[in-house]
Amino acid sequence: MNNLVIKRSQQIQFVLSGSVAVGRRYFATDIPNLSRNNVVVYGIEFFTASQQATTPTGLTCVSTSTGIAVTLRDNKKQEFMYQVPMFTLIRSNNAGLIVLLKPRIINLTDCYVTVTNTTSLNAGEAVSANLYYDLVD
Amino acid sequence: MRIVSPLLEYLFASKMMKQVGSYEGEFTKIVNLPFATTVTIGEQYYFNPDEVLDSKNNKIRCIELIDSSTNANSLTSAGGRDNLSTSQAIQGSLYLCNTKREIIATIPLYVMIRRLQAGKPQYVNIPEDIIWQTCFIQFDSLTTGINQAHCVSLRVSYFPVTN
Repeated sequence: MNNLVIKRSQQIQFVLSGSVAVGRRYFATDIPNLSRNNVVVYGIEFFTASQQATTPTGLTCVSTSTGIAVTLRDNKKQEFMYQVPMFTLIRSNNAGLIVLLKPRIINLTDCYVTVTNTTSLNAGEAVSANLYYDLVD
Repeated sequence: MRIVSPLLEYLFASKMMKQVGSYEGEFTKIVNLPFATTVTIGEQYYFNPDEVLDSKNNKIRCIELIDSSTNANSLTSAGGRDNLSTSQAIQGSLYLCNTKREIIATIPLYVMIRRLQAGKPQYVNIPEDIIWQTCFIQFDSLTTGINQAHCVSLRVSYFPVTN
């Protein structure tokens, strides 16, 4: 059994701005040093309020993951990870294992979460994640 | 059984993945960060200088947060302190920084509590040089207060650098 090793990591967030509605997409907040298509992502981990109460930007983390699906797009606009339930990307739900990805250059601001159930989700909260990456040579 | 896959070989060779049951480090030590006052949101709490954990001497390979259920108290340089509970740990993160004080990795404290991750350790392999005294803890919320009775207790495993 293998698990991810952190080389570099940075927290990202998807803010539930405006009203929370089923089917609506909420895109990742821009982070300048991750938005130059210069990072190869090889792992990702999501958090609810059980793992992280508040994001580093001061937003309350969502309390539930069961109504959220995650989509990641690469720099060619390909949705290589499409609508994966957020629940499965939480480490403590997977016996402590972090989801590893085939390393890809992502376009952060093209990545988004989709709300599939609004129960316990509130406007202004954030879906928080940790991105594990390496720099492009 | 070992699955033979070019992708897995690449992840191993690039040090992005490691077997859970493998060596965590040749040495291990506890590092405590006692708080002198009541903790405030957004303040950076730096570790004391520790040459053992600087990259020029040793490479850190695994970090574990000792919470109050794992070990209730720690003996720190400021005396005996209570370790953080889970509800306190979810409020903060560990930031690992390089010699230019750039943040290289952010790790929420909760995910480093080993007992809550089914015993899986948190491996790290930072590609840049780390100076331990530039690494810090920061709390982003304090619904459950943290004060001078508490400390952050980390178990750090490392390999010596052969110069």
